[in-house]
Amino acid sequence: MILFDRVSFRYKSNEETSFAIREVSFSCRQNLIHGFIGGNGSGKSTYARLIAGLLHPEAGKIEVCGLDTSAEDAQIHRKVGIIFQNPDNQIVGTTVEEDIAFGLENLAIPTNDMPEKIQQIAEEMGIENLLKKPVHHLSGGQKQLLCIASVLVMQPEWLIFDEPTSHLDPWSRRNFWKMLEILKQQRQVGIIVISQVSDDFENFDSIRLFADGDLVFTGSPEELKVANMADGLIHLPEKWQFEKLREAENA
Amino acid sequence: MPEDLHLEKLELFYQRQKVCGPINCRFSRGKINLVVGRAGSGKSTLLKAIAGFHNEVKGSISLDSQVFQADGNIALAFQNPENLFFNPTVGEEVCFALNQKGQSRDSNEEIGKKWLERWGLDAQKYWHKHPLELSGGEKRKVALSACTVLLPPVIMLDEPLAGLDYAGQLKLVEILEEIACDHIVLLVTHDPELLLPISSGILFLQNEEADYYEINQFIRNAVSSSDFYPLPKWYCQALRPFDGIREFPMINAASVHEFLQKKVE
Repeated sequence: MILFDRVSFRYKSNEETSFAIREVSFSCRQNLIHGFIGGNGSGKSTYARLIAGLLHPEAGKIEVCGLDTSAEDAQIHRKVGIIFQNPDNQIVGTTVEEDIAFGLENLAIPTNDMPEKIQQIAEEMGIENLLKKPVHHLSGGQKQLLCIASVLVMQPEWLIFDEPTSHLDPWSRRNFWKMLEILKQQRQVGIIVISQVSDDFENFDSIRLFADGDLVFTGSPEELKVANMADGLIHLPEKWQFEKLREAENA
Repeated sequence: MPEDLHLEKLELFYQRQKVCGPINCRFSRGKINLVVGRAGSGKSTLLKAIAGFHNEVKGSISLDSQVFQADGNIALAFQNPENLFFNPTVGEEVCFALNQKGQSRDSNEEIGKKWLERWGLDAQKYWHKHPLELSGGEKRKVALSACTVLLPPVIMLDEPLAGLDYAGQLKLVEILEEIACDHIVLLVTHDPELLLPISSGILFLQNEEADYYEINQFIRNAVSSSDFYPLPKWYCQALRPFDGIREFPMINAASVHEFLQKKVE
């Protein structure tokens, strides 16, 4: 469970221009895919960084799996794994194998135990044939799978994906959502996906819409579809808009 | 004013392995030219080859029938703009190319601020910020501003829609439509839907091959077969009964709905 209890936050270095989070409260249950959506600069990535303990609230409290993110950084970093938008910013190894091993080294896993864990996670992500490959030879989709493997091998309880589909080709996007569903079922992890790609919305179990740092909507995709959101706040999927037009015509 | 960029029997290689080709097509002025394909199909390599950053190529590239040499006559906005920022402020980043040309700094600043505003960033607010302080979408807008301040004859953009919210994407379409009137614009994308109405054709790279399609032919193929290219399922389902039509509606709810209503009437 993730719990935001009257959380406030703002970036101090540019306080006159940035958005502010003011006394925001919500919770996210595990075993669901949560979508954090909103336009550029709406604060959705900041919420993700607060959950991961990379930023700390100015006031209020954030709990992840019962741990206070402000007080127990090290524990939080083990509980929450982030997969950033651009895989190149996250890959540190020179080969696929080395990159997956990096997280295990940080967890002080004995060297003898590593090959089995690396093989296991590589098989789960379907990249076992790439283990010896230099990372710069991977395609964008393969790099993303490597980032997920490198985070998953540390057995986090929450996974946060920062705009995972925006750089994927349409074929890989379909595979991504299938893979996420399998992860949710098999790994029992909580998943947060930050996105502004409207076609992603129907893949979420639950949606939170942010604007200027505020949480302005919480609900299911079906609820968002029928909610009367203010113009310009969010662009609903064309598919939903088409369905609405057809329904209105048939009514 | 350039008319067309002609690729003739162009083949791309990476470490002596063939990536794609032969590519035969003309990218013209007037409308934008799209390049699509799976990750790893050679889209970015093609842009780099045209820009002169990738030399493992065979075949020829010509601009208005003259051998094309990239030399201040192209602008290229890369896929991950934040990887290439190297100036301490947004203002310097946006004006870098202009300042290199040696024009007056005051007039450069005016041009830079105009383009930042056009791309949807408040110039006053962002001018002195460090580029790496910005959100992903804001960085993209800075990169696009830096790409457009000079407007050389050939403008190339690698996945410019990625990371932009819907308002930013609409802005991009509007600006590119205008730029394409007197520049050759090439654009690599995974999201062709919004761009199709302002495009003249699509170069589709797949399985080491390259095929150039007129827009309606591309849509027709995608509507007829889900194996061709994954356009949105709702669109393909709605249009499949009409795949013999000459002109397809745009890929948005209102256009498709209007099209279907007219068909019923």
